[in-house]
This record gives sequence, structure tokens and C-alpha cells, in this order.
Amino acid sequence: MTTRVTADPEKLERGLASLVMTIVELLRQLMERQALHRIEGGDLSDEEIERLGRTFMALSERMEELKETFGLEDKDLNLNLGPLGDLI
Amino acid sequence: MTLVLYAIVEQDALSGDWLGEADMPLRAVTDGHLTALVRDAPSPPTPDEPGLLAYERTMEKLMGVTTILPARFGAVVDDDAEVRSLLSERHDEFASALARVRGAVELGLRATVDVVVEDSSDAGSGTAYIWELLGRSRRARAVAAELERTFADIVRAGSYRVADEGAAVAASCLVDAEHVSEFVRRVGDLEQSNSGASFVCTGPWPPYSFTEAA
Repeated sequence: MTTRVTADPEKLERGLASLVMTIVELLRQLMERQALHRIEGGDLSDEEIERLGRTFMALSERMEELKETFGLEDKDLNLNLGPLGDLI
Repeated sequence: MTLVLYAIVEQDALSGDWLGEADMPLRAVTDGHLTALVRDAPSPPTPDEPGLLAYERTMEKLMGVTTILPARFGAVVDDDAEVRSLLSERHDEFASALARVRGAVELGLRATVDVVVEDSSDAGSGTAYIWELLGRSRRARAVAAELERTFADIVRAGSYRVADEGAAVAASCLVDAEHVSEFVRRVGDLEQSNSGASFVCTGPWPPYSFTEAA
């Protein structure tokens, strides 16, 4: 007997989008944290700080837009890693 | 048929016949002086609301009876033999974990860090954005450090973690049963003291976060 997976294309797209965006969100937060760490360490110039800030601001805005497009909320962009806790 | 694992306890902690009662359909599988409390079930439990609530009620009853090492919801084993070999292979680990949590409960504390609107002339600039992130991260770390200081003398162990990109601090504390009311009183003091955060305290829980050696 063969069982078929009934794949609703819209659900699939949303599932894939949330998975991809989870990874992007993780990287975004890691980069932000890394940048803050370096700024606190004092090894970035004013100009570099401004440029980083603009990049992160744009990235954060773009993430908000994408979340709206795919109807995702912050809690959808996380993975439970069992005993390791949440991904983000 | 599968065995759902609830908790590991010391064998001599079990007296009385409450185990098999209708509201506690568990049975004991013992190896040496460790006992696993299990339930026979046709399939692994489903992680839905009634399932989780029933599991939590069972855990709360168990922790009222004796010191337990709670199993994570949904932990299953094949049969009694597997339970016994688990108990014997990891005997030392379980025994020291039981010693670590004996007489203590877990309390959860979530601090939501107040939002501070930075008054700056360069609002909207990249630099202002970075300073806002940095401010939030510093405030959250300060709250985490304050929590650690506040509870240091009454917790056996604790973790204080900045969460939600600096919007909150999540703490789990292992607290002696007799210190619970003091813990709650200090949370109330923090709330009054304009510490830059608001608090939600939960528990007492079985020591879910303290079953493994740090």
C-alpha cells in the first residue's frame, strides 16, 4: 500500500519560509551581538558604527516586512532544540 | 505498548500504596537503590494541552511525596529491562543529581526589562540604532547581575539568562523549600525598588532545569 503525502502548496511555502527565516534571524542576531561586542571593546570607528547601524536597521526592517508577507510571528522563527533549549 | 518515564527517585523513598491508585497510575521499576516511576501506555504521550496538564499534575503530586528527578515530558522506554539498565548505567549521575536537588524546588523568574526611550538628536541614524541596542543589552545584563546578587545567599544553584534580544531576563533557581517565601519576598522588594524591570515568578516546580550536572 502506498501512502501519499498531501502537500498543500501554500502550507509548504509558509513552512519553508519560516525555516529559512529562522536561520536568517539567527544569523542577524548573532551578527548584532558580535557587533555590539566589538563596539564595547572600542575597536570600531564612528563611521564603521554608523554603517553597521544602518545595515542592521535595514535588515531588521526587511525581516519585519517578510514576516508580514508570510504571516509569521516572532515565535514562529524559533526552533526548540530539546535539552539545549531554544535556538534563539 | 510503551513505558512512559515520569521520574527517578530513591528506592527507599517509596512507601505506602499510593502509586497504583487511580489518580497516580504509575508503577515502580527498581535497580539497586534507584527507582524509576513509569506508566504503561499504548503509545507515547501526545504533546497537547490535556496531556501536558496531566503530566504536570502528576509531577506536582510526586514532588509532594519525595525528592524526584523529573523526566522530560514524552520520555519513553521500551520495557522494564531497558529501565533497569538505564538506572544501573547512569547510577552515579542520578544519585548525585538526587543529592543535589533534595529538599529543594525550582522557581522560575522572568524579568521584563523596561523600555527606555533614548532622547537623541540623531534619531533614525545607524549610530542611534546601535546605541539603542547597546543600551538594551547593558540594561538586561545589569538586571541579570542584580538578580544573581539578590538571590546568591538563598539559592543552591541558578541560571540568569538574557533573553529576547535584551528585552527580558529568564532565571531558573534551585531553592531550598524553606527559602521559597524569602525568595518571593525579595522579588516583591525588587519590584518596589525601581530596578528597571517587572517580574513574574512561577513555581514551585520539580527541578526540571537541574537534573544534569552543570
